[in-house]
Amino acid sequence: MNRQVDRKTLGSYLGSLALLGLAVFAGCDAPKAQFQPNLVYARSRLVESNEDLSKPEVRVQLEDVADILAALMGTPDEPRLPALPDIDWSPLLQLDQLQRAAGPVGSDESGTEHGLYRQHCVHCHGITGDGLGPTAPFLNPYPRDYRRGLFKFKSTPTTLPPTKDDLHRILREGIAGTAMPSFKVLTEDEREALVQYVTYLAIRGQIERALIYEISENLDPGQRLIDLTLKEKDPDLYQEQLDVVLAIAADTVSPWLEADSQMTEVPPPPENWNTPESIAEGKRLFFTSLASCSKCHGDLALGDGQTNDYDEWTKELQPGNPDALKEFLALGALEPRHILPRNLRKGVYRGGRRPVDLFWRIKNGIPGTPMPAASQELTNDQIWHLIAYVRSLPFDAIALPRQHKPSVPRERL
Amino acid sequence: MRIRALVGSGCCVLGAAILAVAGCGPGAGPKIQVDLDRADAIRSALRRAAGAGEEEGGEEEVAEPTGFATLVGRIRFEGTVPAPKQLRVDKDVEVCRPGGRPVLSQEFVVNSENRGLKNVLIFVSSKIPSGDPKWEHESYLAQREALLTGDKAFDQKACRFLAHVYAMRSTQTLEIINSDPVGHNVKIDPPTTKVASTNVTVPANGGKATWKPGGESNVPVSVACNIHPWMSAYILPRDNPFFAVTDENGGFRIDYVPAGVELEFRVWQERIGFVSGSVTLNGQTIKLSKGRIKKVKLEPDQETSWEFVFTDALFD
Repeated sequence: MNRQVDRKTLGSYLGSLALLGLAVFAGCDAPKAQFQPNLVYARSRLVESNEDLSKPEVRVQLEDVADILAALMGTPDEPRLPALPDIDWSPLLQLDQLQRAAGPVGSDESGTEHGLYRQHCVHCHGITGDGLGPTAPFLNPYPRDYRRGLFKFKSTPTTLPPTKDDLHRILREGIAGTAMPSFKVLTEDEREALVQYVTYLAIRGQIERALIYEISENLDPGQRLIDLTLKEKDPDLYQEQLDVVLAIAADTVSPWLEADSQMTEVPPPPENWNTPESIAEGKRLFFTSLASCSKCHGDLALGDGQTNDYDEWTKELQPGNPDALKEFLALGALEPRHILPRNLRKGVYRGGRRPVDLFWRIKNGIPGTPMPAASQELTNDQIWHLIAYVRSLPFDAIALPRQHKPSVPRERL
Repeated sequence: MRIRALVGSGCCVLGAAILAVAGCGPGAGPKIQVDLDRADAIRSALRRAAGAGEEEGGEEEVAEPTGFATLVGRIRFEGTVPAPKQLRVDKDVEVCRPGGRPVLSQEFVVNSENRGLKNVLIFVSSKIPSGDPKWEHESYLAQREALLTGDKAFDQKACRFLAHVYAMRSTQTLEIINSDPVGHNVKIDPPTTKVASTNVTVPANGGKATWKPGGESNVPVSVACNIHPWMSAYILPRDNPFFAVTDENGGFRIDYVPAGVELEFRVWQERIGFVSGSVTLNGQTIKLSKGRIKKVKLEPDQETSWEFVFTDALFD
């Protein structure tokens, strides 16, 4: 009898183990990979509470966004590039490259690997490129959410997206001081596929935001972005709906096409650059209102001048409003963190430590963050002097560990 | 024995619970599923439309204006005026809080004498050909690509943007000035890629920067300064010139509005965004949805007056 009971209990244990197994394995990976909707943006634009996202009139609009995105850009296993008026994708994205980066991990007979994004990027940046991969909550800084199309470390003016080279550089070099590693182990071809796929995810995310924005500003509750049944009933409105969607997509893509030719030229530094007088001039400028560096980076350049600001990604979560924030967190957003001005005493430069990298940072600012572009009144030579000063900061006495005082062992006794 | 069985089945329940919780997505939101068949149908429709656009292009005949009209008006507020929020000014206080006086939010400014509501935007939202002399009076055409400078510049003093709500044409260039003895940065983050973003340092004592929106938006874009985070303003960039911001008496005026054609106007206020709900227009109650006043047809060479009353119910 005892044995019977044991068997029963054992059966129960086994049953629960099996269920646990299901939870762990079947959980999220078994169904086809899907892009997740940007519910945080929808919540911030369309409704006053998470509950309202489930209202039928909001739901149909969100389903429209999902279906239109799938129509234009495809799915994680089958990316697409739509035909758009006046847009030639080829210099920016090619479908065969996207197909190589997308889909499940594997390799073909020739040994060419595909599914590169899921092999190398997805754990942090997520299937959707929303920066919400499983490792994301444990990283500081959080992985980039591509869906705003904003990239920090680039060579183009504030308004424009990065060039291809900019993204290649990040993949090659990684980002110092963050969890983003270098991908020098990949071939140039593989990195090209990934650069294109990241661009594709960014554009897809931007179109999604633009569609939600269109709903929020121009459509009445329940009104559709595209209603296929209007084709016969109201052909004019139907045509207008299609045109609006096409225009939104084309407007999103065109700055990306423009960016490649808009790299900010970096002039050579002045003759006396990086001399003590150049460093002194940089130091003077650091505190002037012409450059205003010390306002945020602090008088000692420790990054302590402005420590309660947020970046654009975080501001969307209304971190100053606890009730709203709670709802955004429930939608999967990550706990907000302040954006801190760089501590310039450390000598860690996320966007690259070459003088040319620092020139771009100062000249054009850092998109999505409080770091502004230099005033048009700040000359290029002055920017070079600031760079000289900034590069000297990690080696200033104040930045070094306390000097060892020579001591006589006998005295210590 | 019973207890053991209970423990066993408890484990089962636990397992099931984990299965349910571990689920997939983040949780609280609705599950939005893609309908792949519908996506296919939309794809073919869009492909046809993209192709058609290239071939035909502007085949549609639109009605043309028969002249120009003037629109004037005033917005009055009725009801309890909410106490303005006090802003936290904690930096450069000698400049930003002159005399130590509290700095108040300009989100909702009502004139205490005539109850005029300041900083309300009212603009033509219909699609209108930009730069077309049939639609635009020559005084507008002359200013179409102007540099907005002098008294039209976007100035800041005592860590406030002097124009809290501002409107301009997307083809114009705005001069941004800093009349403070401390440095500012001006950060403009449009919610749409059609409008150029910017974030630029503006040096003290008359330092300048420029910004050209390049495209239009239906909602004003927000302007901020990261050095002084309490500073805020809004700029509406429009392709056409038919817009106004109410002054300290709640008054507005738009000259040379295309007459004899049906236009749509929209009304926006910072606190509530596009005005939705019942308002009184020239004594009649009308209901606005997303700030829209539809099918407005003005008589050429006439002056039309719109007297609005907004009540506190709108702002609840």
